[in-house]
Amino acid sequence: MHLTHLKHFLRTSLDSATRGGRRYHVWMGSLTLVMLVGAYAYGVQLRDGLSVTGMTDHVSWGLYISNFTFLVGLAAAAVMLVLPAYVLKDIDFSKAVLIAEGVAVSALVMCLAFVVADLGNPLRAWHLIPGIGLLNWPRSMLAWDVLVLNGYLALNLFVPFYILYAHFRGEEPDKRKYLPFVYLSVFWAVSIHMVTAFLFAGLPARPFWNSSLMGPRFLASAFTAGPAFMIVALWFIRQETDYHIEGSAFTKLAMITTVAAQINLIMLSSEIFKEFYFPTEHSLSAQYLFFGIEGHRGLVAWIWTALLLNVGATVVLTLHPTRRSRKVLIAACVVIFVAIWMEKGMGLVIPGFVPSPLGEIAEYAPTWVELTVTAGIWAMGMFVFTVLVRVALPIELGQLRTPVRGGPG
Amino acid sequence: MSARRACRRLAGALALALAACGRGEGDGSVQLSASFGQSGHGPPELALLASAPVTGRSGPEGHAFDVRLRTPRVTSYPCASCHERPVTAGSRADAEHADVRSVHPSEVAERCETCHAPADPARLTLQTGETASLDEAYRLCAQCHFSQTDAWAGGAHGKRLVGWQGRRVVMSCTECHDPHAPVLSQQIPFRGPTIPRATLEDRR
Amino acid sequence: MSAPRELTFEDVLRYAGAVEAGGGRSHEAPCSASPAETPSTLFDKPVDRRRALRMLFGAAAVGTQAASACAPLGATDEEAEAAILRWEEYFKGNFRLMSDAEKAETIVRLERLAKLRSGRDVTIKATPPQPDVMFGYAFNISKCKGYRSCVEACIDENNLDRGTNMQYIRIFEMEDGEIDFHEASAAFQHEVPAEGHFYVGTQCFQCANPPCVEVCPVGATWQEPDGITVIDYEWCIGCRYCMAACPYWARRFNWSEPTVPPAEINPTQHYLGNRAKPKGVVEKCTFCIQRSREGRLPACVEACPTGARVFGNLLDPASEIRWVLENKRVFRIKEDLGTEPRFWYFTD
Repeated sequence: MHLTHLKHFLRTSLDSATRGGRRYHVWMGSLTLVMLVGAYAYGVQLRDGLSVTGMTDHVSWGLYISNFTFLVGLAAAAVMLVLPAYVLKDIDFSKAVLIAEGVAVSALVMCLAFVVADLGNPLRAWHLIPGIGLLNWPRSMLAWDVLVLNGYLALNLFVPFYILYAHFRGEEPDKRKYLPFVYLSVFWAVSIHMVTAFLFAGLPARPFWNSSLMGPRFLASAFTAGPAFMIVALWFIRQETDYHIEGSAFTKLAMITTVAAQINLIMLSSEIFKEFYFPTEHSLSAQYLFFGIEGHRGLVAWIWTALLLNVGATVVLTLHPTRRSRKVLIAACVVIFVAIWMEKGMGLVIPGFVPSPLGEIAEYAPTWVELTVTAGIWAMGMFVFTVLVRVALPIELGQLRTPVRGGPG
Repeated sequence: MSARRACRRLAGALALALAACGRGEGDGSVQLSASFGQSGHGPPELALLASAPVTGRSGPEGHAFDVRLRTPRVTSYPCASCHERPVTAGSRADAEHADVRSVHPSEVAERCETCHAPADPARLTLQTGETASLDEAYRLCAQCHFSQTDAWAGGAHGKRLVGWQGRRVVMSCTECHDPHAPVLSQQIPFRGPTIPRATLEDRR
Repeated sequence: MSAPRELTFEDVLRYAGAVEAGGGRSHEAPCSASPAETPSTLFDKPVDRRRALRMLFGAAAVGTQAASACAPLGATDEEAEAAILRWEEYFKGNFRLMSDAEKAETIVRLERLAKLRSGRDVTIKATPPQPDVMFGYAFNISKCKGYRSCVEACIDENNLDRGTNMQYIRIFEMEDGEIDFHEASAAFQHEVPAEGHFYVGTQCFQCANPPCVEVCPVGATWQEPDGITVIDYEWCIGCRYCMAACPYWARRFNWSEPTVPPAEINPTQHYLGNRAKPKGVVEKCTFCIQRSREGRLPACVEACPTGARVFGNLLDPASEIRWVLENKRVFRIKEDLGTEPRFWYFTD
């Protein structure tokens, strides 16, 4: 890989990403605007401290970590496409897989941004770097998470970059060079989500999270929300570009989403049974979540909304006629994506802190700063995703090629 | 209203003199502790404490311990400023000290002469007929409060002073319990927590 | 204070030099480090690459700050000095990995920063643990009357943030007949002790098997050999995982810049204890490490007017804490979690 070639590749990519029709510019412009507003809110947070958020010593994690948890799942779900596309040479998936890796990369960028936004001292993040800092590995699950998330990000940047760069240069990518990393990323994708689940499940202080079902449930919900997002994204790409995605890819993705949603509901019901058949003191968090305790009902409407959306969408997905209707499928995917974001985000993180380990009840509601920063980070994720797709698709379509073999000059 | 507060002030010299008198009885000699000969452990403030070894009791593992002296710190000292001679218990004494009303839960302890030696009003009287200095109030209390005294000697009741390390000096019973009203009173507590927390707006 | 003016690059270099030769300053500010050793260590240390880079970046940072709108129309000498000191602080390592010389350097800087911020001379010590000492604590639930004198003493002693009313200690008012934190309240503000109630105090229990230490991703919190779990306030990144992991809700976070009126600052401080904490870090009870390591009692023990609090060395058979453990029926909270708190409850 020659440096001038690389420069050319990057320049061409940048060129491609910054050109587009009016709708494209409006879309990117709006995202930029939201990001700027988010950056302003983050500036306020940096100046005044996390006291501008709704978090307290009682509920010490809030909207940021909720989004982080959800997005790790979204990133992990890319594996559902990587696995068959690269390893089993599934022809339907092979076209979708670059998009999936784009989803993974943008989700990971958002994850890291949410973690940084949540830090009390983001400038000290270098303390996490082994060698310069001091990473408490292997004892801390958060140290594991830092490693696996960054590793997964590196893998998901490397493999698509290598393939795209080869295609850009009009060459066939060498399987021996990237296939080992594909296998690794398959294993890695499962691990990022299990590790994130363990981050919560490993805390005996919080009985609501201290469940062995946490890891499997995380995977099931991730494999619902991830492919659901993919279906919507691919549908959108098919509408807007010349990139052809096989109809069977949708069918397969819909199947994955459906089965995962069903498994997720089974696990959810088993958790609910355990919490409510014979409620102990450890069930107080679940009681708070679903019914409220002592007049504190902050999440009740939230979780029931999420549950209804989830069940409704799962039913729609399960029935063959509705799933096969493209429009209904898209709607169901949007609904289940939102439902899981609600349930696995705030619905999972906040009740863990209510009541506190000493029985005090303090409720949480995000402030405008948190909402704005969150919107900004989501806009950033969408921005990254759009740029990645904007570069990947023309290369895959053969529209972007290095002009002279051997590169310029 | 307590007797202490009701009484007139007495010169510090008298208090010291009384403390010096107390030296003869009990067993204790006053330790103004630099002379105590403890090793270098423990906070230096301990050296400033006037204390004496506790009579007839030992702490954990049989170790001797000290009790802080009361008399050197007394600024209002009632008895000797009026009573130059021994007094007798009776209606006159009750009338003169009408402001002192003992609300000790035990009826016996509500009578002045149960604890105060009429012959020497500045001293305490024990059931054996022996008298004790105010510095040894614990000996008086120990006559009834067995379990409390055990816990006090062991360290589960009362308060140790200054350090966990070095010479063990504890407070005597009457430092916390007013002998005429030994039950601790109700109070308005210090300010409570702010739940969930004070906000930035609260501070401005 | 001198009038605000533009900061020149020469100024910056001068300050950088002044800080490097910070040993000279240390004579003015009281410092626990040996005065004979500090200046020479600082002077003799060769300017290695990291240090040189730091100085360069430091100069750049101060220049930027002076030029920026944040510092209105330039910075005063003191602001510039503080900025340089903070910059130096930013690059220091984890306390456990510092050499004695580095510890002395950072203490000089922190003491100077405290002076610049509050005008108060503070002494920050780094007293190490004593050999053969393991601290233990016992709390008599028959004795506690709920006065919260301990809370008041703790706030004063440990320089806790007055702005958010931070309190390490929680006193729970419980109804006779059950020990249930979920039914209890810590927010009582009536005359105490209330009829038919008893009081249970909580704070950091200094667990022998602390979950909070386990989870910290950067090793900013650890258990010292004398059993006290401490936090390096400059190493904590503020992720608050430890707060989620503590089963006793013993940790507090500085949601904003902590404020203590200068007149109320307790100037006797410990690096791992009651010194001024920055914004965005976690802090907790350290059994008053600045006192207990000197053989003194924690402020809460000293302040308790009922004698409900017993503190001492668990390894000393003649200690009061050992007497309580051997002669009273004791229990701990959430023993089923295996955290092994070194904080026991007992009754008369």
